[in-house]
Amino acid sequence: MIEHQAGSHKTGNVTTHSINRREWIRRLGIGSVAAAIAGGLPSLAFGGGGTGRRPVQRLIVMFSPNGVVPESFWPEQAGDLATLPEILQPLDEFRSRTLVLHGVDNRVRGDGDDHMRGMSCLLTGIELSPGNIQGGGNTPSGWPRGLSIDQEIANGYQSNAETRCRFGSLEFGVLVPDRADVWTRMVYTGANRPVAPISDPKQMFRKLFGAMEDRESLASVLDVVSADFQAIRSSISAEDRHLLDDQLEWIHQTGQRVQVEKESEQIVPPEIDTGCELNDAHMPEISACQQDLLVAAMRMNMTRIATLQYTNAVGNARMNFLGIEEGHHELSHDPDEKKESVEKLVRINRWYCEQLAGLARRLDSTPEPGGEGTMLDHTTIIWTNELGKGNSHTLSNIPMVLVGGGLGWRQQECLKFKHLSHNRLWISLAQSMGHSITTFGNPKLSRGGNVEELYA
Amino acid sequence: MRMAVKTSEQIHAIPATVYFLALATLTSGMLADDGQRLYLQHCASCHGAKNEGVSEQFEHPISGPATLEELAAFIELSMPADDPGQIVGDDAKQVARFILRDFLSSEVAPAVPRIELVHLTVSQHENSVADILARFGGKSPVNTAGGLKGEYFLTREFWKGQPVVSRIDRSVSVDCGKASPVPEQLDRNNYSVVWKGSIFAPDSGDYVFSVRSPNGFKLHVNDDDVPLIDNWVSTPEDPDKTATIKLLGGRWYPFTLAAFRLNDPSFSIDLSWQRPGRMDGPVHSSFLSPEWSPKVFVVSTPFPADDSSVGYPRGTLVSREWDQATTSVGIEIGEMVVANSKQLVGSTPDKPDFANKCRRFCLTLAQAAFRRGLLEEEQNRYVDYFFEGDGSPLIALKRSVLSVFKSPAFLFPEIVQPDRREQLIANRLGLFLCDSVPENELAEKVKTVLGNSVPVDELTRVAWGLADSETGQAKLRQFFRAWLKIDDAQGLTRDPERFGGFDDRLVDDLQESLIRLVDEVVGSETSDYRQLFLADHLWMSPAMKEFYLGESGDDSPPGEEFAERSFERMQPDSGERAGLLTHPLVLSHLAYYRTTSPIHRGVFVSRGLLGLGLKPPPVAVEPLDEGFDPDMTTRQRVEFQTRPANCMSCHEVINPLGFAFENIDAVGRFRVTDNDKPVNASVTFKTPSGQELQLNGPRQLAEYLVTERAAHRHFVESLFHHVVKQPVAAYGENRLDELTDAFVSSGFNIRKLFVDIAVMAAVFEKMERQVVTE
Repeated sequence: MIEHQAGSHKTGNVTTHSINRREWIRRLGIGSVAAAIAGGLPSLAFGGGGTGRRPVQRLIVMFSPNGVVPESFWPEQAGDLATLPEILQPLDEFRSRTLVLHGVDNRVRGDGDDHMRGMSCLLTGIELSPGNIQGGGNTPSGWPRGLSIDQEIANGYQSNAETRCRFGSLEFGVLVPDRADVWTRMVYTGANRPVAPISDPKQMFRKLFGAMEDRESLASVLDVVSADFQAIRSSISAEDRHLLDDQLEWIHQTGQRVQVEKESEQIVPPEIDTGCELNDAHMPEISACQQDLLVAAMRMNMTRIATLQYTNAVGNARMNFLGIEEGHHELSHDPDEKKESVEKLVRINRWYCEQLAGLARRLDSTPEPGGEGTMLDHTTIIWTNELGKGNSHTLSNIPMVLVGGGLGWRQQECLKFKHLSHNRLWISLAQSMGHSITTFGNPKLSRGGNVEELYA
Repeated sequence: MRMAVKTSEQIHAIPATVYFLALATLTSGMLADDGQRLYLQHCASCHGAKNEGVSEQFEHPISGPATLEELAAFIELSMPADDPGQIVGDDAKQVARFILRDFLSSEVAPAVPRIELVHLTVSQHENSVADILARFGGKSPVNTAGGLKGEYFLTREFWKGQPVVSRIDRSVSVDCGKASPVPEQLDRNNYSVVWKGSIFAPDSGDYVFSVRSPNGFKLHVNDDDVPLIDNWVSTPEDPDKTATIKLLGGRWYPFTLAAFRLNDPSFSIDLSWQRPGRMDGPVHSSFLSPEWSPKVFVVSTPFPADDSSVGYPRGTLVSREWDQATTSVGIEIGEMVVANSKQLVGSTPDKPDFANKCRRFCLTLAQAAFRRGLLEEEQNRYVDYFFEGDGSPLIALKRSVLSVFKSPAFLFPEIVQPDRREQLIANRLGLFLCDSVPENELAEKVKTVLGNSVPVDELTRVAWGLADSETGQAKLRQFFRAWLKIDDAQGLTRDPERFGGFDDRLVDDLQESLIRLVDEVVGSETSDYRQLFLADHLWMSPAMKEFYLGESGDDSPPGEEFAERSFERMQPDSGERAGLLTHPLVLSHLAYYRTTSPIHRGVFVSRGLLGLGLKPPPVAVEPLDEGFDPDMTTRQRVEFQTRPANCMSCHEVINPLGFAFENIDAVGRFRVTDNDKPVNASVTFKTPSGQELQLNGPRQLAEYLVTERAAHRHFVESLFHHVVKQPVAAYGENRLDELTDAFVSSGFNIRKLFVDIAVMAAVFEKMERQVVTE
């Protein structure tokens, strides 16, 4: 959403230190074969440049609420992803490009209840300020004290000519409620600076392609207006005609400019029907529409960083299209013993996983513009959640499922960590995307920095 | 001709030329030769035989415009420069004729003043768009000032219940600490307050709103849906929030400020604003009303400034930037209409009548924008054409709207006149008095009136309604604000050593003080222009009293009554003050960092008040400063620097007018010494009619000015330009004099002049110009 990052602040520190070549290759995110070749090349400066351009890397963070059903979500053992648990089965065709991370904890404490911290400390890794928002328990809070990792990376990308795009990032929503608080906002450009996702595909279409629409409109209008000025011109006194002549000249020039822009326009607005109704019953259509827009925007290099937020923390969508009458949040608070609820939660989360697969499929069926492979090879989707589990409100084992490529991380695998602070995951992510930081959010929780085990 | 010329009488040059040429053909030869002979004998040594100028004498060619009489009079009084009085009477006339014929003939026939084709000025454009779109919103209630409606609720979720207390609060400035704002009714830990109603923007521009509160709050200005400041999640560590919004002057805007306490340690909230050109300050209750008002569509596209090359802003320039701005406006409006299509069009895309209703909306919109009914080909072009075929009605809607706001009929108000004369008159009244389109019923009111046998008097009553409306008052106020540079506080920094205490806060008070004086005079029943100069009182704030009178201020903290009570009407300096002529803000603008500037003050009076035309100095001159001669007073220094003859041709007019102010220093204080010498404010001044006057000090200058016809004429002409945006002479050779006569006999009633100008120009028909009017 934000094109310029004025007003936000960076929390990362850039330190220079000598690194060995293997580490460098890992950080560039090149696959193992290419790494072997690259090993023979003259040394490149860290971060790209020199004789080769850094390959395109993209990030999409996808959010769904209320935790998961752990026994149906997590692979039983670490290691090769031979089979997928029930909730993750829709990812079967992408198994070779999937990485599941178990044992990542949101260790941010302080003000705010678990949902609030679960949501607003998820991407920021930093405490919430004191404030007046009272959750189900604990102290009231305000906004987080820092920016989110997607904005941190976007700032870096926008400050570099090679990675700069029209938009630093785009924030897509699906049925996100129209109020601003720590349950509905996940992305922050800085302390106290939430970013609202756009939940209306029409509005998003307008944001992305509005200028082109305007150009079309203008072209058709100029003819009308020009004809009228011409008709009137002859009845105006000679001394006044110069005004109309000037006007006609500008109209003519605008018409020419519009024509030139149309002819050289690389961007073609996609044919997407953005007229879906914005309510729970139409959630699948909205999801499809927003995903189409997201992939189109990335394909045209309008941005490389995006978030896709399904409802909000404590989101209570009624997913009738799954045959479920109760709201998601209500169900998530039922005890484990209530089997019907657990079964419904599994179906809900599986549906979310289908959305993830659908997004991956769209990326995978689009060739990488000006590059090799498909867009999915150059995009990492991270599916995550505010909580580990709904009824316990635990912030341990936050769901982290990565699909796609480009980071140089392990694939077709499940890694199991022991209380890995999620700050370190974000640090690793940023470094792998070419944005060098050694700490993010709360510095204590960043200790240890980059996580070696992630890399291939 | 480097001399004082009455610019408003330029057109007399035409009959002069005609007269001269006629004379020349009748009496060819002898007269012309005499003039040339005299010129070569007496004038060429300084001016050159061919008017090429002579270095170190008079380096520039004589240039016009000038009338025969003016030139002859000037020659008689002032030429030759080193020994005037040698060429008088008939000789002077012959030399003048020669000069006009041989040197100034191309200049002496300027373009005949006419009513030119102009487009909407920025103010007219913005106001027209707001009022066109307001037509679709239904009638707005009358707003009575005095405060906001304050509603107090038992919980944070005020939208779910009824208030337990509902009252009028004059301001939003609350500090409850830990207590409840309404102890008997509200629990001190859990409540919300909603202040709502409307806020009044007196002038157009950017307004900066500030809210200070450690609690959760939301501020809505001109948008009941999207808050201007959303601080519902509180930020007690960062309690100051500001936001800027553009507003159009003379209008009320819906306003809501909601805040709540839910177990916060305390509750406090304070609202302030910064008006255009002013500093941050409390919102006085006269700008707040408890009644709701509808949203005003304020265009956010910035426009390039209007062309002011003729001395006042007009729509005579069609630049690329202006054209692009009109496109952006059209797109902006189109987007707004599409976003609000359900309310505006009265249907939704799923309904079968949607396309038709969109079409009808466009038709109504076009009629409002064109200020008349549409011709058939216009209807086809601007509406039907876009709705042909199966395309999306929303796209057709957007395009039709864009075309309407880029059309000649909208942008150039008089380009195609309406058939009905009453519509034409209504359109003109709307534009002249309110800078906008007329309201729907105005043409009907005019029609009824014109049915009577004494149209102009009755029409005047209709015009009074517009002039006294809030947007009418805003337009009149705009004139004074521009003339007196009330909003311009830039460059008013003074040497703190010499003028300690002259800070931004004081300057803001001076702005308020001058506004009050102008509002008081203009808004009074007699609206007497003379009072602008004769008023011997000043509205003074505590800071002003301290600075100008040495009274130790009572430091009353800003409370709800701050703006009202603390400005006191006083008569400082024992009656030496003379209205805006000696107002500290006006005279401080006309001064330097440490010293006064009699030259700027003199030019202000001669050009700005008397309407005398003055060309810039022949060479760029840097003013001498105090360092030049520490023993001189400012007056002495200026007299010294402007003493050469070619300076004096203008400075003999400028200087006395400036020296008369020497009693008022560079920050507007009254003084009797300058540089330890007694101030000499005694001057001899020759009026435009040739009378020699002795004046001492600004009060006497003021008393002269209110009797001077040239000043009256100039005021009338300036207001005419502001209201009509055309040269007054285009409405008749004698028009300016007629309007001035009426102004004088009305007792110099400013508001009546405003109305008279608008009515006269509204009923004017171009053919009349051939006939001597009245």
